[in-house]
Amino acid sequence: MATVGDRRPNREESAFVGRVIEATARFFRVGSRLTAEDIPAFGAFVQTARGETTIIGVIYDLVLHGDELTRIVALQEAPPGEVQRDMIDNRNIPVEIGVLTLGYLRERGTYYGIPQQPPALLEPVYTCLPGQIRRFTERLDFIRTLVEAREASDDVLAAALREAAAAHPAPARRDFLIRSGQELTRLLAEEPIRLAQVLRRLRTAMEDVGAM
Amino acid sequence: MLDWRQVRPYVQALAAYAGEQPGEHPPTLAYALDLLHRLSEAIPELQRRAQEAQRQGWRGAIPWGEPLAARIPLPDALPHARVIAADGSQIYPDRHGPLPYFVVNIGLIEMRPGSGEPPRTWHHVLFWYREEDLFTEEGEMRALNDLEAERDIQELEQLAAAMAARADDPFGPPVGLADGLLLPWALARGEPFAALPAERYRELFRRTVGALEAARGTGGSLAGYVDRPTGHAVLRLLALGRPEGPDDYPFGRLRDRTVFARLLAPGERSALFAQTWPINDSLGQEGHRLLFFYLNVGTPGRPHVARVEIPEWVAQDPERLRRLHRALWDQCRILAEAPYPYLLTRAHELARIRSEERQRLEEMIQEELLRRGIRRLVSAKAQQKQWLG
Repeated sequence: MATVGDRRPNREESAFVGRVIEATARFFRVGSRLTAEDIPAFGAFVQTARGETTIIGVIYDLVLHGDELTRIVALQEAPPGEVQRDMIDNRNIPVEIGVLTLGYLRERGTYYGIPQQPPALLEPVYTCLPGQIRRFTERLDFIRTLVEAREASDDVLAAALREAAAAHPAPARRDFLIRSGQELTRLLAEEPIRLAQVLRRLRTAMEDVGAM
Repeated sequence: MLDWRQVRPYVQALAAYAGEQPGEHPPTLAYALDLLHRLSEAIPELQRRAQEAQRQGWRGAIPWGEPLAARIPLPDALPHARVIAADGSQIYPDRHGPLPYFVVNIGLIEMRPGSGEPPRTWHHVLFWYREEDLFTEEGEMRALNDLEAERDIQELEQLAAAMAARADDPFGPPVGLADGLLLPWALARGEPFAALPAERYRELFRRTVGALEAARGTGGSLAGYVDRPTGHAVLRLLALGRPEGPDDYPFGRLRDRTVFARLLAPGERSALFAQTWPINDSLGQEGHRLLFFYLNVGTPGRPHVARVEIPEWVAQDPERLRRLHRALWDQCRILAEAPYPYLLTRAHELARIRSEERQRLEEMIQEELLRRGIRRLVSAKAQQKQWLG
């Protein structure tokens, strides 16, 4: 049986996000305790595993849970500024992260869509490295999953494309986003209003990653 | 798993037993308060009696000079302060694991009330894995009380070091807070009961004195904060002060905190008392005798009494004592629903090693061993536990 260690490439650099606490074929939820600095962003690519399969997904939801200490401090009429900053900046608060499954890697092949089985419960989840994101997004098939997912909003779609573009070297970013725009135009041909909104967000993403 | 059919009758019996116990205000409370006031000014006589009784093995509180029934009001707000708190937790060596190791995780947090800045947090980690650290010369794994003592002394040393780093701070001398006793518990129990080799006991004592010296040198205050104290040292002193002496102790299971909850208004502290731990004489020779006072950090009608342990140099400097008293009150106000110093809550949170973190550390160790081609097996017992979850 494979161990956690040999399933995860580049483990020195991938950041630990949390562990799977709920999993379906299309999405999974990750539980963790993280400081504000370590909470991953919407649209970030993450990876987990099921046996020999590495599952790749994108973060579409983040829920920060207040705990008992948060509630006691909140009961104060005016909590001291230092305490408010401590709560926000320093504390490891319970975070629940929703991840949409985009595809998986098995035996050196990249596959898009849902894997044969969802990730195992309590399986660790790590961020993807830029090289992994580049390889996974070489083909644009993952965009269909994002477009069709009810869970993920178009903001998440744009954020994921921005993240994927940022993983490319600067000269290739513009090309990647233009190809993504073309793919979106094809997928959303029947929804012109939505397409216009998504393309506007994509334009902002291009500015963010310096691809304009 | 528990067999609930067997447990349930015990739960019912426990609740019935609790209902039969005297409440928070047993009849002896009025007598204790009366004695506290009557003996309040008899300091020299009580000190004499206590010292004499101590030689016969008596344990209790020795008045330090303030009237026994003193109620010291809350000092004025501090214009500037810097408060530092430390707490520690540990992972004990597991002889069934692939490799034994011992981890101490000290959480530290520092806040400047009134600055609006977020507190600074950091950790100090001790990681023992060598045979000479984990095993005695006889080849036995170190006893848990020995490892606990290491955690406690590391906590005190780190707190003192953090205070020393802020000694010349424009926010004024630091206030350092530790959770519970200031001393490692093994030291406080005294050498015959510490169950430690004599050399180790002496080492802990030297390190304790070193840390207390460092804290004193900062010009700041240092305290151990004991929430819900169960001691009855002051009651034992009152019993000693009666004409009939300490025999036939009259207070049953009454606690000091119940007496001081009735005496002190919110924000007030009690008189200072000295501990009669055997180690306290040795500490006194080094200028670090430990004293304590009670502090009501509750609200009107809802008293909440804590015991605060301090070295005598805090008590000898009114400014240090005043700053500590006020800082503790301000810290407890932050969590007024459950009054306890906010920074100690956070230091505990920083120090705590969660089960998922333990699991991840185990995985890291196994990965690193595998990477180096080292195969270490857990014991059969540990394997079975892993299978059962």
